[in-house]
Amino acid sequence: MMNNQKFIPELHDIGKLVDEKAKEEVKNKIGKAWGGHVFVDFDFQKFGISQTTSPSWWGQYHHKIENNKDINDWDAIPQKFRLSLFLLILADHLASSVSRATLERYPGIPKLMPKNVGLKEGIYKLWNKNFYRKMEEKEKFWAAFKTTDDLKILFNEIENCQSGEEFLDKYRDYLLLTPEDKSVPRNITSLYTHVELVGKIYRVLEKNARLITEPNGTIVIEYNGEKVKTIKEAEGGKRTIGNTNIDKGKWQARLIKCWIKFPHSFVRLRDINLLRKREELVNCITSYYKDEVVFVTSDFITLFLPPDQDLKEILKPLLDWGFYIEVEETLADLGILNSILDRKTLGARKCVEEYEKREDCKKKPKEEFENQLNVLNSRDTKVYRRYLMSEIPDEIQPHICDICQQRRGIERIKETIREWVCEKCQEIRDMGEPFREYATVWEEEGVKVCWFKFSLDQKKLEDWLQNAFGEYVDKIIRKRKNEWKNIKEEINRRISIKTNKENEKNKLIEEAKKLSDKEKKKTMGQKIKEISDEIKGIKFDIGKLENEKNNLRNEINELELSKVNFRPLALQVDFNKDYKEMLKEFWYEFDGIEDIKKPIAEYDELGVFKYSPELTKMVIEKFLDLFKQYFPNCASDNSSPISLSLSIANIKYPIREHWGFFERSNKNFFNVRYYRVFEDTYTKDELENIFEIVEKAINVKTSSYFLHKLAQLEESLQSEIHITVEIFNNRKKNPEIYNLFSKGIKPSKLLNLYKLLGGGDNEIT
Amino acid sequence: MKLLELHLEIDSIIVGERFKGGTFRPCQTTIPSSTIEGALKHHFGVEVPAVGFFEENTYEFDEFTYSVRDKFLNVSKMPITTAYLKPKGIHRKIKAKVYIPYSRGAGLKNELKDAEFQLGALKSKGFGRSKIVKVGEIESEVKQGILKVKVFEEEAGEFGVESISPVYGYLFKPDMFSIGGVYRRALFPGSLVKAPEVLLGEVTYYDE
Repeated sequence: MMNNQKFIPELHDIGKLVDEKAKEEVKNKIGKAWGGHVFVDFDFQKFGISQTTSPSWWGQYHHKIENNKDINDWDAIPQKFRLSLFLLILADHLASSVSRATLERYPGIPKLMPKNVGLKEGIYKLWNKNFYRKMEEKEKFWAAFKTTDDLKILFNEIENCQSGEEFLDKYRDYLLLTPEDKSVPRNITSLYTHVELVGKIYRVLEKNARLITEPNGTIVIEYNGEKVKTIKEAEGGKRTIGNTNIDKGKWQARLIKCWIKFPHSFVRLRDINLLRKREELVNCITSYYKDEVVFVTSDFITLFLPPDQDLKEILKPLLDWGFYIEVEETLADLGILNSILDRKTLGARKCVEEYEKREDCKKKPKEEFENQLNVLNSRDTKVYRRYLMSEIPDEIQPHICDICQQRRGIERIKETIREWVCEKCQEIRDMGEPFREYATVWEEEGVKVCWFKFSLDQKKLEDWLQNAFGEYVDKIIRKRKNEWKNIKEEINRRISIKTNKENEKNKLIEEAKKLSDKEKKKTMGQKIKEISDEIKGIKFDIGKLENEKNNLRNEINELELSKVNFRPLALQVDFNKDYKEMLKEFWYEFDGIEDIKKPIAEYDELGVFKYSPELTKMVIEKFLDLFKQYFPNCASDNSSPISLSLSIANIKYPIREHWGFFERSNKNFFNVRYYRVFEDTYTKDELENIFEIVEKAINVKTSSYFLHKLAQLEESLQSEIHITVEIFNNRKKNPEIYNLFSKGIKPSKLLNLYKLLGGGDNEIT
Repeated sequence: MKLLELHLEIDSIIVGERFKGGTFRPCQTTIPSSTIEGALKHHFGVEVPAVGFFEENTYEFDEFTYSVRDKFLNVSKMPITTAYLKPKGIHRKIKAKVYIPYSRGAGLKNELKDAEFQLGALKSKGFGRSKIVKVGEIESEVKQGILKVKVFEEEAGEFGVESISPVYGYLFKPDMFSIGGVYRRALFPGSLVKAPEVLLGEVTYYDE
């Protein structure tokens, strides 16, 4: 008898949380375990428990259905659960980090796992490669189910779990440590995110699909007006390149990236309440559309939507408050839809149109882009860019709102200052003073303040993830190519042995022909036979090696393809989670320090402190520490997705100017502006190297004197040669500065940080 | 699309943002229709649609502090600091380009050449002295891309600008007596448009 639970897609990969040891135990106990990570073949009776009866059980069949099998022929699945399983399979494909088109033919791929990365079966984070090893040191392991007794708990989950959220909460720690797939190169995404994405995508599809019984009694599944009977029919081929597998799927969906922007200018401190309003509205949208919203940050939302769902309706709360949304939307077959398909499509279009002009395109033959475009066009792939704004009139009679400049302002006079502020912006002001000390105590003290902001650039993240994944796969490919080369050499060596043996054998045959003595002939015959057997053995080995070589070649080709079929969506989600964790930990460290504030409690990216060299140093050091902890293998130069910006000025300096600095697009890992003094950017290496020197220089007068001298020379002479000579002449006195300069770090960079962190007499006035 | 292209050289300039309040006034890095059209009208007495931008790397920001005097009360108000643009590095002048639809500007061609006029704010303090050093006709191919100028929506068509997905803002349009006026809706930088390539920051290949 079936129980009355819901079908919970999040449970489909629960088998991935089982330790191999438990599998072995079961095998020893009842003679047979189960295949892969699903329990379809599990012998419940022999194990001594009854089979689960919940609808979620049928999720276990997600790898058992062939893509081109008619849903009417899914005999093992009761009809009432076929729709759920159908949608689950599609969602699982969409949420995987590498297209399922890749690597499926090679079940032996797990052995490719690099031996030197210190992994067992835990997740391999591209930005934190030793993450799992560090977790192991803390005695945290991926497997949630380690014994045969634990298996009973697992089956109980399938039977009684009430919701995907419950499952994700309960097994969060394990799911975050377990990769989506333990095989390389798919071991880079957490099972948590994969399962979470599968659940979301499943429910979006479910809201828009229905099972229909046709007049002839057959069943079909309809979505967006398109009826299908097979997975293949719904999603089409799975590749975006080549001449095969380009068949169009009938079902399309949209992945939509939304950057939340605003035209507002922060005239007064209270105007930054807009950031709080943004948090509130984003949270409101996320909770109302929790399935459609794939992931979210304060200023960015990614949505998964069917073709006809109104995006403006979803984002209406933001538009109503004067935010505008920059949208990049990709519409494609489910078989190829992924979060960087927009860039691939636009890139291919650009390279076809501007091939002769663009050096970056010439790395590949034009034909390759044309073929790619042919595939994408034949599958009706569309990429749109849109701006969503609330309706605004053709003209506004003066005065326009000083803050948003989108509505008519109403005259407001406060302390003899006349302003024109619209009702919405005034409402935001009226949300209260973000923190009282700023406008009272700090302002009265006339202090300098340092505003700071962490940023995560989603476009840079996409770039970096694709490169990092490429490098990861290339490393494996290099290893496989070496193995391939070794095998090839071994084959050649054996061929050469075989040739020698054959020559020897022919020689003996010739000699044997000349022999008249029967006995000698017999002995010779025996010898020839022995050599023939040896040759046979060598031939057999060569055959085996040839097979191995061909398999390796195929694996290499498939690994090359995995780079093309990479789907970074789940990885982006994981990265964003770590980023949010890092910010939380940052603020935890500064909890209780009076002079540093988070102006908007709900918004972790923005902070401000009363400027002092000590606090500045603490903030930078903490950021460096946490970055090393969370993202040690991530880019940390101008391609870094994560950055920290500092803007220092007198407390009277307008906040909108600090914000303007934070919003600049050409950020490096660390950016600093000291109003009217200097502005500079640093890579992490530069920052760390300089930090070390500055620490020493603060205590040694000669070094600081020399730094000042260099900066003055640079400013007055603008001569790099002169500076080089000066540094070279003083290399013995100031070897650290000489070392930095030889690494290409300008003296002004060093001096600026020195001034910023030096304090006391060295503080900038 | 045929356009009249004016090459300008400018000593220093303030094109103020609309933001008010506070004692710090920011400065923008585009030449909106409202600014250049006003200057052309004032100097040449003609009303022609025009848009422009400063050429990258020829300018940088600096600040100027001044105090407005209330002549009636004979007192100085609180000093105001304004950002302004000045020539950068080896450049002795800020370089800018201004475009006028050819059909509207052809008759002005000779008059414009070598003309000197003032552009932007705080002219009385010496800001905005500009010289048109070159006037030429250009043919710029209309492509899809991201707009890099601020142009009144109602005038966009005259430049061959067709909006696909606009980012709107408002520019001030004075009335015929230059006493009052209204804020008119305008296409702002970042809008996805079809436009002459010279007005685009980037050519794009989005579906429409």
